[in-house]
Amino acid sequence: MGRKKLTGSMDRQYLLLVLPGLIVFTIGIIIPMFLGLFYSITDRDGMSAQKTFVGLKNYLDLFRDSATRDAWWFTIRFTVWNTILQNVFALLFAVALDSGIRAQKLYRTALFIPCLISALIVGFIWLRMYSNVLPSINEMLGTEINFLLFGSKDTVLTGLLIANNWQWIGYWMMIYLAGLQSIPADLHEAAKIDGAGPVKRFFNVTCPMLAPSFTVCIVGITTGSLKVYDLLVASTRGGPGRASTSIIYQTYTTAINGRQFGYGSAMSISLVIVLLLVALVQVKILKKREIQV
Amino acid sequence: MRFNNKTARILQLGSIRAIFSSWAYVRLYGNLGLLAEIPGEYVSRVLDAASVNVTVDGKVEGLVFNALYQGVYYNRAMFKENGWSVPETQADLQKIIDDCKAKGITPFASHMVDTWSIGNVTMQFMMNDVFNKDASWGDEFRGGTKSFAEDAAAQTAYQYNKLIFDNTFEDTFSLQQTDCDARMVNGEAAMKVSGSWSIQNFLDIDESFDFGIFPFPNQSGDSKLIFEPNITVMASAKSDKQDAINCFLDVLTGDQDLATQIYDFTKTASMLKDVAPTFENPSQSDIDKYAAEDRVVDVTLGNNQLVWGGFQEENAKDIAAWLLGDMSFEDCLKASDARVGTSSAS
Amino acid sequence: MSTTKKLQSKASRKKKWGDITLQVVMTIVAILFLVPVFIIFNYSFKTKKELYLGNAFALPQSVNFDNYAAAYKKLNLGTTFFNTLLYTVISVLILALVCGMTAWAIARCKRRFFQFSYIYFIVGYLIPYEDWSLSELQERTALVQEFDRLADAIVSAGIETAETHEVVEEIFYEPVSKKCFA
Repeated sequence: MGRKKLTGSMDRQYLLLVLPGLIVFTIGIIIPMFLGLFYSITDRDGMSAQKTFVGLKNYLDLFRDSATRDAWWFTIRFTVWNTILQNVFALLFAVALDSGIRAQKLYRTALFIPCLISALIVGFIWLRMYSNVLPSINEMLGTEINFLLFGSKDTVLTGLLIANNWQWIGYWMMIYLAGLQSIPADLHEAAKIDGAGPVKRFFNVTCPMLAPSFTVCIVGITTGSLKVYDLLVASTRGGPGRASTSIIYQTYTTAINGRQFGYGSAMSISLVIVLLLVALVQVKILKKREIQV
Repeated sequence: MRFNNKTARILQLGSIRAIFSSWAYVRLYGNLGLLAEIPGEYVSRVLDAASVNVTVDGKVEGLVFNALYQGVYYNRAMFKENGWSVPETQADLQKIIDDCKAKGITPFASHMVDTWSIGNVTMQFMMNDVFNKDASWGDEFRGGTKSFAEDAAAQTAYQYNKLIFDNTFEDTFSLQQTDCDARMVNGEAAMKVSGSWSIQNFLDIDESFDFGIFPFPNQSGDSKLIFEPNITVMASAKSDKQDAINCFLDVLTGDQDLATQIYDFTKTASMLKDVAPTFENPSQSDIDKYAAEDRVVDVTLGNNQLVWGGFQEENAKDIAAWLLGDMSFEDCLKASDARVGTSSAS
Repeated sequence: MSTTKKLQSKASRKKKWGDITLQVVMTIVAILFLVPVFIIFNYSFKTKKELYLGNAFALPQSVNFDNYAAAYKKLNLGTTFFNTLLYTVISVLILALVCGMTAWAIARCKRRFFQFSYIYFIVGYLIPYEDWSLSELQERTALVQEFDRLADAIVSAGIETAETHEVVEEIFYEPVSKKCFA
């Protein structure tokens, strides 16, 4: 039944629907990516018209360059912590809001507002928070807590994590909330009747049913964290020194300020490859756990 | 800096006549052969010292219109109160630093969270300790005869950063520029190694703040006040509207009222002969004094020898890491040496 | 009877305490989340002097809109806001339409080409757009403008056709044989 039913004209109609998206997408994203691939094997400095081929030298340099390795290390740490923290808190808040407390909409709005602000502004806000606002709490209460999280390489990651999580927890919480509310109530009833307490119910009923939301959130948070840039530009600018330089920030500084377009292109291509791998691995693993209701 | 390649391509097409830009690009575009020579009539209206570094192959290809001064801003009232005189040597400076600490004043205001500020002051130091003795240090660096690891003068310049770091606010790596300037105006610090961008900040916080400027003392006691050309006009070599360009240049350099208006609006120092801005600048008297004694030097020399983007900027990050104790001084020097490939624009 | 009542009230009391703590916790969390926003809002009314020299939590001396006026002028807010609005409305319309069409087609049609295009699109999401330089952006905009002009030409041709031609409807009957009984 299946294949024979699809006549040629139906195929063409499906194709017609997909074509606009494909065309725009190809022009806007895929072609530039191949251009970037091309530049990554040259020595282009972005200004002179000539480009000399250097083959894979750019890619080899990537491994030797300690600044790039540090940037990758920072980005990886940022991503791992972000994924853990944002997921856990978003899930906790979603469960809390779903448990029937009052003024639920108010809390949802309050937690959601930060994600409407652009990352640049968020960086700006938290820079001021750490250097001006929070230290004045010390003045008022007479305490000596160190709030200058952007001032030393040991605390700058914490500072950035707080800022980034503040912005995005509300967003992922909404996704989990939607997921929670789509769990049929009779599953919970059945579990209750079987004598499962709230914690057991959470792990054995809620979590499996939330698997699609997990996929979306984890993949989204991971790829978003790997691409962090705006936040850094507005707050630490990669500092102090190089302690909070992400891989994209390093690409930008190298390619534009350092005028090494070819090398910068190689860096961004390597990032694309990593992103691809990470996303594919995650989707494969997480999709297996999903139950199609 | 993002507009480099776009501007270069536009110049190549000759589709714009002249561009307002910054000094750095004269070398950049001049070396690519994209600029036309500025007629001598207009060049003669500009201070001689200003045309030195916009000359490519003997031809003046940029017209420097205004400049910013860089040096050590100091709280004049505080200096008078404590009987300090403007230091000419490192020993004089050390005396002032010791006196400050004894009185509970922070000697230097700084905001090292901005790595660019570290890069900026380092170049100021190098102008008066490296480039005044050896104007082609950068070329020799690239040629292999000079290096950061071996050259004592370059290391001295880097070490001045430590002098400031040891005598500045404890939270300098978390301090915003505006907050730093506010503290200076408040009297919490005596001096700040900076540039004329701080003038507006100081006056915004307190219109009556009295400050002056002096060049950071070097090892030989003969440091000069640093100026950095700001607006530089260049003309495209391929343009066919030369008379229109000439007319524009004539107005720009000839109309003194217009020039004064522009200086007042941009709060910059004049590079035209016999024209001075009239906006309020307590440090103007010091500037005039040093200019009259010919104790001024163009930082373009240093910035052409060792470029900002990719070199000075990256070195500043290493210096920050060294000051914070994350990197040894030797490694910092080695890293600067390793960057020799990106130290030049050509 | 009374024991069940006691057990019930105990359970409901536990639930009530749980609810109250949850309520309190969520209120604190919500307040903490909104504090930075309120502080920036507070900042927007302060003068430069108050900002640098005063306490961060202090309320402004007077509510003056100087900062807003200055921001409006510097950002050229009238034009830029309108531009952003236009850009947003158009993008949303196009995206809603195109993405809706594409997603429906991919979801319904199980042929391999469409599965491939699913991956193709996912790949694009991963590529950070900040990697483009201004000149590349320009080249791309030029391409889009060309496409624009082409689309305009097509639309005007279509309008011309519609104006000079008439739509006529015809009903055809086709003989079809059907089996009524198995």
